[in-house]
Amino acid sequence: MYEVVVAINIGIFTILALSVNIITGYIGQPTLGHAAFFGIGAYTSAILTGKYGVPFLLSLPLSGLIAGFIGALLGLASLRVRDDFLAITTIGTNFVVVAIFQYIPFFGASLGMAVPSAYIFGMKITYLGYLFLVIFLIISIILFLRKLEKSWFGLAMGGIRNNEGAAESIGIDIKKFKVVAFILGTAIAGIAGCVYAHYMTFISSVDFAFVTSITILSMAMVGGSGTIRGPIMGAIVLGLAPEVFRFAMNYRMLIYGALLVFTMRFQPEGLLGERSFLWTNINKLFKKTYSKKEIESGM
Amino acid sequence: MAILKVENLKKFFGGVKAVNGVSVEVERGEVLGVIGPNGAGKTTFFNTICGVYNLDAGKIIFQDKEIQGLTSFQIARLGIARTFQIVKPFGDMTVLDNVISAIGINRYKSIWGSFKNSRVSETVDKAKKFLEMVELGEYEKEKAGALSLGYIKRLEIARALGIKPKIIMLDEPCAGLSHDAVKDFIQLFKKLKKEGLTIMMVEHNMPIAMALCDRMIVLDYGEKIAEGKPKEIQGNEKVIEAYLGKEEEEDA
Repeated sequence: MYEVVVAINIGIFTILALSVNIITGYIGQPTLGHAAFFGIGAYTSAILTGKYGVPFLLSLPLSGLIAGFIGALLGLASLRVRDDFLAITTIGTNFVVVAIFQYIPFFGASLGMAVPSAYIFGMKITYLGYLFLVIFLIISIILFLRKLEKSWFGLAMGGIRNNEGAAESIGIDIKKFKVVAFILGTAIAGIAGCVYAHYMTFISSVDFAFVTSITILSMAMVGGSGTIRGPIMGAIVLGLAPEVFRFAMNYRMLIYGALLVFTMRFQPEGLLGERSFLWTNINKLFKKTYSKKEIESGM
Repeated sequence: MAILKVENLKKFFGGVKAVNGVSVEVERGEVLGVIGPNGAGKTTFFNTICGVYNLDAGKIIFQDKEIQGLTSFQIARLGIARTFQIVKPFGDMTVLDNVISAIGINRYKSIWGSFKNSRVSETVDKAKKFLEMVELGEYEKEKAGALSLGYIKRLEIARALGIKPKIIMLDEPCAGLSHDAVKDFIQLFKKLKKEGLTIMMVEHNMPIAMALCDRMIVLDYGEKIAEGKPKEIQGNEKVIEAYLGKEEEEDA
């Protein structure tokens, strides 16, 4: 049971890390307020299912849609402000969204909101059910991201990440792609929020505070941003860390923080980033067998 | 027939008149050099034509269509490609991907279209052809940021060719290159010319500019002070003055 709960948590954060990676890793826009959209998804579903009786299967995509819509507004803001200023703007967004949840009675204010259990085809989702749901979502997102990486969209995002001026000089409409990247990233976070809300059955504004944004971003960065494998690895490592170091209860945050500092100092590209120590060695391992084959075939 | 016409182009930065009323016509298939001393406004002139800066006055007519006020990506889609004085490769992408991304110029128009696979054999082959042309074929799998400056400059040309330009604007293609790299560039340049491309080039290295350009304009303090064949420019008093200063001034 305990393992399943930990696994679901890690799974939800894997989705979040993968989604923030679209914005920070692929198209290179800093965002420090991703938890806001996680929260928007959660509250959307809580209200839709709790107050209006919308079935879970419908509220799941709707949560993504609403989070994506508000994400588009932030994306539009990102066209006006850049770099550090955009980072500050996203932090501000996070605080505003949390304040709205915290002070407006419609959102339960400081009492939070109870979320009804989710049913799929009349069956209540159990813990194991949530685990499968999360795994299914992760696999779908990975398949989508793989397609994205290979597409023209992926190249356009790479161009914008590297140099906006050069990207424009080859006909890439950077504004359009930035807004769409924000929509994709925030919509996926909204879907994660919906799953989280029903799985927890209770949400309150503190769940989606700035600290959560930092955790999500750390996962993507520690794992290796700009890749698919990186954020997954990051979510597993940083998600497991508090559990593994449970014996050192009082020093958990210290260990967690130290892990962050050390990766940024010694592996800025992340554990599994493009040129990281781990990934180069894994590649070498496979390349050796590969080049042997080439020699045999006389190339 | 002129493919590009610039009429009375003005671009001011506050009180600085970076480009102050420059007019020029570029004929199809010719090589037009833009020269001038440091700070003459050559790069600003380029950037204004490419839509990086909004102009303050004037007209830019490309293939009988006014294009001033368009954004730089729209101008690129019309067929004006460029390279940069300070190179701007997509450093963390492979050399091949750098060129493929330019070939997609028409795929970026609709969001749905841009979700299609970019590495189909048709585009990869095209990109490889451009890389062969600039002799970077063997580096296609390297990260662009890992190349030397000379190679990056050639990669930028390949990337610019990727958008199938009607006119290509080279901003100081030889700046910072070694003697051998300059020789390689001249070879490449001759190939481009043979393809029938219209080329506009800012160049600091006078012997190279004289050798490669069909016609030149000379800018100084944002104004056009001379225009003509390289030989005519060579003897032009105003040009010599701009580069070397007047004799009386030298005494001071």
